[in-house]
Amino acid sequence: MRVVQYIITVVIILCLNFFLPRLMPGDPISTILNEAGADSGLMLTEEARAELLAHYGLDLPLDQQLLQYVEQLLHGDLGWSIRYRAPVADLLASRVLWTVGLVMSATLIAALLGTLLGVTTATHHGRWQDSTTISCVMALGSWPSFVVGVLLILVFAVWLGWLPIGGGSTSGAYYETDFQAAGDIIKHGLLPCLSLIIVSLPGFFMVARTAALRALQGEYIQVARAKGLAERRIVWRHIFPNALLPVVTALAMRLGYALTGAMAVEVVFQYPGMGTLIYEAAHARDYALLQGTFLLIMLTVLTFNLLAEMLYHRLDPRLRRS
Amino acid sequence: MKEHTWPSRIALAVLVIIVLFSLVGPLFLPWAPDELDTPLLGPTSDHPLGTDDVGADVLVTLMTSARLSLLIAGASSILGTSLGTLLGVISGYWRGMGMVIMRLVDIFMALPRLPLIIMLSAFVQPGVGTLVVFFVLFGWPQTARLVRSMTLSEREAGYIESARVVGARDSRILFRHLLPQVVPLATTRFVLEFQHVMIAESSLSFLGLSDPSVATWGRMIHYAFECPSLYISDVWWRWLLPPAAAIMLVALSLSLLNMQVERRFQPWLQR
Amino acid sequence: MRRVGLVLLLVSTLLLAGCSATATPISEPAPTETTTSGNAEVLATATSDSEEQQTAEPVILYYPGSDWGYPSPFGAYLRGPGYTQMSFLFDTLVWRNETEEIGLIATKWSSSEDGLEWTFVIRPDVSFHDGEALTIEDVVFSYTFIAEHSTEFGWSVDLANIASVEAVSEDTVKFVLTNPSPDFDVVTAGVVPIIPEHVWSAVDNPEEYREDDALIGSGPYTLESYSAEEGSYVYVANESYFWGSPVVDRLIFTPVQDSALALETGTVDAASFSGKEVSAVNELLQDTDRSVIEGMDYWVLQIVFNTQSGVFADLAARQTAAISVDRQSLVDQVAPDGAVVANTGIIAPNCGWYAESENVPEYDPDAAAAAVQELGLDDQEVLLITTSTYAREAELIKADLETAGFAVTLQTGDTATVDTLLSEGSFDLAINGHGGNARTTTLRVPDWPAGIYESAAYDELYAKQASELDAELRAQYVAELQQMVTDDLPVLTLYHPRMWCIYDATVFDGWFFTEDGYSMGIPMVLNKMIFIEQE
Repeated sequence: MRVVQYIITVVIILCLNFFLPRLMPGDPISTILNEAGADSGLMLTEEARAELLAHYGLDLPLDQQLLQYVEQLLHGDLGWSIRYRAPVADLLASRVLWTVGLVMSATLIAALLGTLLGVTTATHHGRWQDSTTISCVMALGSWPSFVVGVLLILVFAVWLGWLPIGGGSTSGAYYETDFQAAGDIIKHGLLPCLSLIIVSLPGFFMVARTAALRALQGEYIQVARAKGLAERRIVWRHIFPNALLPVVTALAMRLGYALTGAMAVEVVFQYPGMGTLIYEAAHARDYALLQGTFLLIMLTVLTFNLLAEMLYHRLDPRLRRS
Repeated sequence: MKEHTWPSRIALAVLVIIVLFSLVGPLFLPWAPDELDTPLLGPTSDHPLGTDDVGADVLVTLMTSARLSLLIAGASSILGTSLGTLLGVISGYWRGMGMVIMRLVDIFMALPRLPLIIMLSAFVQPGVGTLVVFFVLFGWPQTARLVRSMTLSEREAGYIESARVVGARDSRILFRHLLPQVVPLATTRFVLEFQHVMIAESSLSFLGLSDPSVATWGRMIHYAFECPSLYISDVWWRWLLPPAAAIMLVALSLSLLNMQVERRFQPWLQR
Repeated sequence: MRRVGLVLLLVSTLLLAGCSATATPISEPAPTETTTSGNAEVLATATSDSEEQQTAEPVILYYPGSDWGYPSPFGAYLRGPGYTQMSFLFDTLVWRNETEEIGLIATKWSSSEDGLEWTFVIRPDVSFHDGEALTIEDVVFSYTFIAEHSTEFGWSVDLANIASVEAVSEDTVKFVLTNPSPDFDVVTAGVVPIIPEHVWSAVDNPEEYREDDALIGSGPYTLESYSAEEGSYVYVANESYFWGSPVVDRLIFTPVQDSALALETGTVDAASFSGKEVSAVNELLQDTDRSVIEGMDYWVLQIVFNTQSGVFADLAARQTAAISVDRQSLVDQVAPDGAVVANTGIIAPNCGWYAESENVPEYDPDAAAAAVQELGLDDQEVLLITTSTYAREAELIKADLETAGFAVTLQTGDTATVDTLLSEGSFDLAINGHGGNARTTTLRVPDWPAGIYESAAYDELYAKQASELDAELRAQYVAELQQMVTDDLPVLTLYHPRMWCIYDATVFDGWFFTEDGYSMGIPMVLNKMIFIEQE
């Protein structure tokens, strides 16, 4: 049943993916040529344009284009990006790691930090520290991610001059060792990563806090307390694992959105990831690239949703028993 | 344990102030929204936050942009939550129809929401109406699913059965008995939706994916961000920061309010 | 707990490090010294040997970049910056320095009286980056191969006009044309790159050919590394260039989101700005350590009228609209001191083809309001379309038109939507940018007048100038064309943006804007001749 549902969803996604770009006005050729800008210097006659359309198979009837599309997909061929003059699969491959690295690091750190904070505040439930921490975490996390990015650039790149203003690595640098290379990349990733951590912290924090609160009211905690176990031990042995469970599920769901999650932040930092690619593809109306990108994104989300579901079933003892 | 209620009170006050500002604020300023002065003026007594790239007063724009920001978020979340609640109750009450609706929900829930909206927006540059349609279209299923499961358990409660036995009509049971039960749940959903749409819309505007005539806080941030002297002049704090802070305040207030609502209705929500 | 944290950090570090593979330079000379450029520590190297290095510090220039495609003749994006990247690696027969046409691979050239035969004599001492000599066969091959693959080449050079190309001697090539061309040396020989026959003769699909030797040209630079996703290019001086090694040893294009920020933080040593970016220019120049040069773009923002149907099919209506719009205050509002109000003949005043039009419509709101009443235009809905880029200008123009009495609906869409509406004729007014080069082709473009404006007299005159060999007569025709645009108002031009290049003169100070643009008339500051000491 579940499988059928996922298959239907995939089919819908494929259809949307194919038809949507083609139902919209304009074609990629004219977009390339007329892109707003002061430097084009390019003129094309009607015949040359028709020739270009034919060259990219865009003049075929829609059903043939669809057939071609499905056939290419089955061969693992995502098509040719007209704007970037490169195979879509290559473009995606060159970008995916950047984004995944960035979002993974940020999400894992945020999840960990959120859980720690959540559990800590839950044990101080009702005291002023609790309300204050909640308000602070929320206040910090409620800023739009792109504005957080701008502010971080101002502080760390402009005023303090500690970190680079953007990009993925130093252009034209030579590295003596791999560690140097990694260091350079991490240095460039710090600010975007920090922006993402700040905005995704509250989600994990609240989930962990609620779970910890619930666990605190559980009978076994009362028993543990009655047995005279140290409060520290109770917290880390009993509450923390309980708080971690929903966080892990939330983490899996969140990672599904890894490819688009950092879009605005990537644009702010000119980070060489998927976000900037989508942004540019959308503006240039590059059919093949948009299709490829969204196929990848949708499938990732679906896979991670499925994963989250399975993970939840495995981790939750109540569900496992039944 | 004693609960602190001060955060939610402050939150409510902040929301009221923001709404008031957006509606009557411009009346107290000497500048009309469409009146243009010299572009990119620094803060003066005339323009507390200076002017933007075409010479419009930033403070007035901040106030007037609040209207569409709040309207889009409000309309989308009210419509989405109502639709979801209604369909949820119906599908919980009539099992047959419920199956159909739930399959639809499953499919919608499997579609990644924000990426899809981003993609749609990339093509159509949505205006206010289209934006609301997008957010409602992808916003109702979550509510429907939650409301349905609550309705199902509510059905099991004795009073519905008794109402049936005494011959109450379906519509009466639906509207008099079931709907009031799910209102708290719908309320928290509404607050969360409001917050979600608010932030999603500002991201779309920031990325330049919505109709540029949709003047919202996100659009303000977009223009401020495009300003070539953003980082090297006073533009960032007097033009970029105010709308961002406004978004932050609304989102934060909603979070705090939602916690209060959840706390009030905890017995229902914890089931 | 701490251990878990460490493991997670390690995992993320590894993940990030995994990306490093994509960022490793193509070639890896041994690092020799460390310099600091702004806040970014850079391990730099001199390509020369160590003795030379003690005498002269290598010049490293950082400039803002983004991805403009794989810089082969078939891989670069079809835009000015894409061509520019490619031009560092590949030379053409003819090029332009600051003020005039110069020979690069060609030393001299001439045409027959009738403009049908062009001969070019090539320089004897030119070699490709791989050391192979550039021969006359390579020139013939380049023109034949690119003509065969003109679709993949993409740049609109009229290669179909070449009836034959042949080597008449060891150093002379002769082109025979189908139609006479007065400026074949500029519009064709100045654009087509010379590529090595020994590389490309075996290539069937040049657009997808990405082997290392695809970038072997004879230009003043060689490519050290290119990262598409990051949008960075690193060029190294070609020491065996026929005019000697370029003065900038390493030319690095680094991805930058905000040029002003990059200059401020020292991430780049120079950056160019145009039009509305004047606000950043003013801020940046408060620091007197910076130097600046100023130029003007050939590009123009214009209101396109739908002359085929609707309200503005009538010339009187177009003239009324033209005097309703306050172009000066528009410029003052969107880019004070950042643009100049256009003369209404499309061609920019700094371009060689420019001729000042007469009877330019002057802003006169009262006359406009009266004319709107008189012509009965006030009860007609006018649809104004534009892309979001010009939304601000559109708002101001809409306000001006409404003051005059027009009822205007403003619709903004993305470029593709607007283009479709334009070609369908589903609009009354459109605001879009146009041109961008310094050639007469600016007067004859696909989105205008085709479909929107039809005038047999205009088309005829345009064709006449394109093949007119007499320079004076041709200039006169081009001036007439500009006057026709002013009189008949298929478009009302609004403004030409100014351009600036702001730079740190201690790093490099040879910047100039090329008069009438380089190659196909590209107005950018990145003419490779700025790096060359020409003999």
